[in-house]
Amino acid sequence: MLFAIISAILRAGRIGRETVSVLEQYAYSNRLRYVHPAEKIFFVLATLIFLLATSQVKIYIFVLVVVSVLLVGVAGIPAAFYLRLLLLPLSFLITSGAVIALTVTATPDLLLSVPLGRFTLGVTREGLLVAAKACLKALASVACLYFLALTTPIVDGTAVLRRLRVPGLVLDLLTLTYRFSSVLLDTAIKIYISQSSRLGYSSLPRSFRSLGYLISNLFLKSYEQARMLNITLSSRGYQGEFRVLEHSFHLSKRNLILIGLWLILLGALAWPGGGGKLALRIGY
Amino acid sequence: MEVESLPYVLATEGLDYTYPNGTRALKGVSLKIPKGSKAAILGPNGAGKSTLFLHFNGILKPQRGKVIYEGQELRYDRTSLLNLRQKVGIVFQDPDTQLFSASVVQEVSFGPFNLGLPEAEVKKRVEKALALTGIEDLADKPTHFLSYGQKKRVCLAAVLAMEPEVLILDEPTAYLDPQLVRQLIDFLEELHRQGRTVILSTHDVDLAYTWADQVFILKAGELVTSGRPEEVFADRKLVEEAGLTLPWIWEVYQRLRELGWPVKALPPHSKEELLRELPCPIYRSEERTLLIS
Repeated sequence: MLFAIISAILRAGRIGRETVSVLEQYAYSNRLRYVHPAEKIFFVLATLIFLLATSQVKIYIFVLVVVSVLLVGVAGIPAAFYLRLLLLPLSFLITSGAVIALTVTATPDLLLSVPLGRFTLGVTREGLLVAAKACLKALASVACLYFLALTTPIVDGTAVLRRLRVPGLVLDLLTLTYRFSSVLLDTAIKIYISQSSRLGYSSLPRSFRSLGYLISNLFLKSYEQARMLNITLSSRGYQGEFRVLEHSFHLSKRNLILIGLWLILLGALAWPGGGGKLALRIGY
Repeated sequence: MEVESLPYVLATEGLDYTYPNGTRALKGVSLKIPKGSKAAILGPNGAGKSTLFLHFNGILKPQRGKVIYEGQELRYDRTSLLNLRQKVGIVFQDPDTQLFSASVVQEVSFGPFNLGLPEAEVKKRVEKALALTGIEDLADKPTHFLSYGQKKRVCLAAVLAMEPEVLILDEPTAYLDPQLVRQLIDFLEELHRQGRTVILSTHDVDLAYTWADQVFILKAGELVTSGRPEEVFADRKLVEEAGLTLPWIWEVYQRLRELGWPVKALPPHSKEELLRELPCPIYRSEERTLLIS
């Protein structure tokens, strides 16, 4: 069981690694790459807060459509790849959506139902609506996060965080973790491939043993890596502070105005006169 | 040019180093590297080449003996070390242990910032180092998307941006394809022309023979022999005992001489030189003299 889980993680890691590396490639090469990261972060955060605060389906759909159009039309992310990314959380959304939609009641006025002794398990119209609403809300939020992930490389993000006076130590850790998680995963995959090519995973007991070697090796390698990193950094005069050049971005007045207009538009849509009320409760 | 009369940039005297696990990596190594030379430290795997390099840059402190830079024994306080590490730069063998940053520009700017340079100067140095190593187009790329050869160049740029006087490269040609090796050697030649001392470790005897003007052979932590390449490789037994072979150019030249071919007294240093010196058979050379006259 444990083996199955870990081996599944490794395999998922391999696929995930590919997806992440494609995602990162877009982060570095999309058409919004040189827009000030603070603008992008502000746009995403403000929209997310709006999404969480409102309970109107039309806002969810509106945000989902606009963000998708921005990503595909403006940033130049291929639609097929973006759709595949959107499908990733779908399996999770469907299962949790189903749980929300299902109701157990004693009054059998349901759209679909299965009798369960004295009670009935089934789906009500309301339940279905609530579930759809929750899924849409989640999907729109995910799209917002994808917007950030697909247009802003992590180095630009840390630059903004540095401006916001997040302690240097935290950011240095972030940088190192980011860099070496990819080294670690690559190492794990290399070891896994080299073991598989020598039939290391051809039976269950053998798989257990191979996996054990893999994990212990990974620990040793990480330790060695850390030790070597310390040496290589010291030899370049490291004295406890990572100071590096950061890309200088310019805030664009036009973009700020656009973001302002976007928020006003969202507000107007959610406003009672605009067809609904801005509900500050998070709920259905 | 008489190398012996040149001042030494780096030297060790009776250097001993034993790792905590008991491996005696260096046993009384005394050597002198002339300023402005191209030095190759030859030796099989585990001969102590990397350990020696870590001493040159003050990362390891000798347990016995001393390391001398420009006539001064190394001191291990903060300022002296920082000073030394600016002047002696090491490019490590595995680029993945050296690259810590997510972007190439950031990686290259790290060293100059540690020297306390102002941002404008750092920017200039980064641009210069990227141009020198021919990787301007990689500037904004994330380091983990680069190929092995590209990572190697970034490591080189990261050290060059500190403008060291001595450049040390640990196994620089390992895993590189022949074309990249060629480019690297040409590049090192250029650095040498600019007056820098370049030291590299390798177990590629052909490379050492062709490129270096000083060769040091290490074996199991001891200095076996050192000198100009033609002096070092003249002793076949010593070279073979150190787990190395003779350079093929050297062997062909020696064999030609043994067979009585009229080769020049000075051994050739590159394939081109050897081919140029390959004597023609008598009738051909008569033909040639006829043609020339």
